[in-house]
Amino acid sequence: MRFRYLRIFVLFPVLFACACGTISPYQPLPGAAMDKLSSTDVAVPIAQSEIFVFVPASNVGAATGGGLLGALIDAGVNDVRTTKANDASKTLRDALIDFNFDNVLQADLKASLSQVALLHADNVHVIKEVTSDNLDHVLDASKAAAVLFATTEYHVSNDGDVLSVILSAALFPRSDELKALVKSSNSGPKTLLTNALYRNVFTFETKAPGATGDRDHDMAAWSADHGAPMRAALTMATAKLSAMLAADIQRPAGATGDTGAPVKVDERPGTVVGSDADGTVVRFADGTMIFATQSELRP
Amino acid sequence: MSKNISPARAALFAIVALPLAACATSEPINLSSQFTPPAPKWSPATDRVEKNAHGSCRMHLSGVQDVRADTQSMGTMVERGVHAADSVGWVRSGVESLDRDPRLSFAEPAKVEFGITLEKAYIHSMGTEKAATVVLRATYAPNDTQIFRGDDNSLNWNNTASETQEGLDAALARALEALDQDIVARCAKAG
Repeated sequence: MRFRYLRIFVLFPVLFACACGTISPYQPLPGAAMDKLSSTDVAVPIAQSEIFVFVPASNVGAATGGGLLGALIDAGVNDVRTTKANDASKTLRDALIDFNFDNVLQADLKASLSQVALLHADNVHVIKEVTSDNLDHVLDASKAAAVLFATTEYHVSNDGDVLSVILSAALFPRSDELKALVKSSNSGPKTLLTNALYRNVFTFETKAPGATGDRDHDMAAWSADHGAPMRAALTMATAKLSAMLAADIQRPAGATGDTGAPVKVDERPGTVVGSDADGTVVRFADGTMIFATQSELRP
Repeated sequence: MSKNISPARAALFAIVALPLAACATSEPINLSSQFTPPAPKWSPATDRVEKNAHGSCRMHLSGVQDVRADTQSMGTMVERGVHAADSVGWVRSGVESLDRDPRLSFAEPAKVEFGITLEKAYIHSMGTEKAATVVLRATYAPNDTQIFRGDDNSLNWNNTASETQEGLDAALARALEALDQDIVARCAKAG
């Protein structure tokens, strides 16, 4: 069974809940804001320090009738699954020990966003402590007119065959004239997605070379040659996601629907909005986007 | 009319509400600079006897460095940032505990000399789990380095500072076990 389509932010449950539970994950940048972004700080929260295997939460307990006993059963099952997943990914993590994902993403975002004239982006910096308090602190401490958060997570699927890199972008106002354009909530963290001028979720997916869905086999494939396939995939992911964010944040609020070919990714229907030699960019009906290499697509 | 609360109800409230309150806090977790072995795997008292009986592999620790970009951040436990004020001190105290192994001692002239860099150290909560990892790099010579990884996965009972410390200590202990074995093997080769 696949869980990829859930687009789960394992390490950022609060952000995920905001994106999928109550509000649309996509909010275009208001036209009125485009000439008011005199400066933008770019913060890149990346909680993790290494790649990990996404372990789906157990719901075995529900089958037993739920309750406290069910919860304890689920906790035990999750413990075993997590331990096995970590053991399985040890070789891959060792192979990537000198690969600095944070620096690669930071450099790509800096390069891509510096080309977006309306942002006047500067000061791209990674944040390792991803808590609501700390993100609010980063927002409050900024002297720029706005702060663009590009919260990112990367993991391989439970089967080990698919790499997913997920970037959740949210632009928060700092200047008074930008604050006037968004109806901010007075309760909860300042960096709740409902307070953002612009937001969207971008995903990159690709498969391991010769993927079979057998975790041990696929981990070995990713880890081969000092982790070269995974290094290449992560490097491609940061470049594609940075470019997608740079393009999307300039998309006019009233843009009409995309007219590309229909396509399905993980059974989700979407529309092709671009492609290159590496893969295809697809926009889903809710506005979120994915870059999928050819192995991930079907008509 | 006042309503009496029975001791049983009060106890139930304490059991249920206090952990929830602990979970809800966003107060950062500040880690100790001292490594504490998770279990009495090495027993110093008995080890000393064995050390005298078996002799020891003499080693020298040339230094400890933390090469992470952010040397204070050690991950997050739900909404609590995990901070280390002295990550180098924590690792050093762990490495210095290697002499609890009866085969090893920090003494001159050393048969094995090494430096330690902390490559990774983090703990994260994921659902009902918490996962801690510590990765050390031992440098015996400029072209002779070795990576030692320690992972610890366990239930996140209550998101507390003590269980966070225990998780990271357990991960460091596992990395140190592998380092211990490597040093012993090198000593044996050195004769």
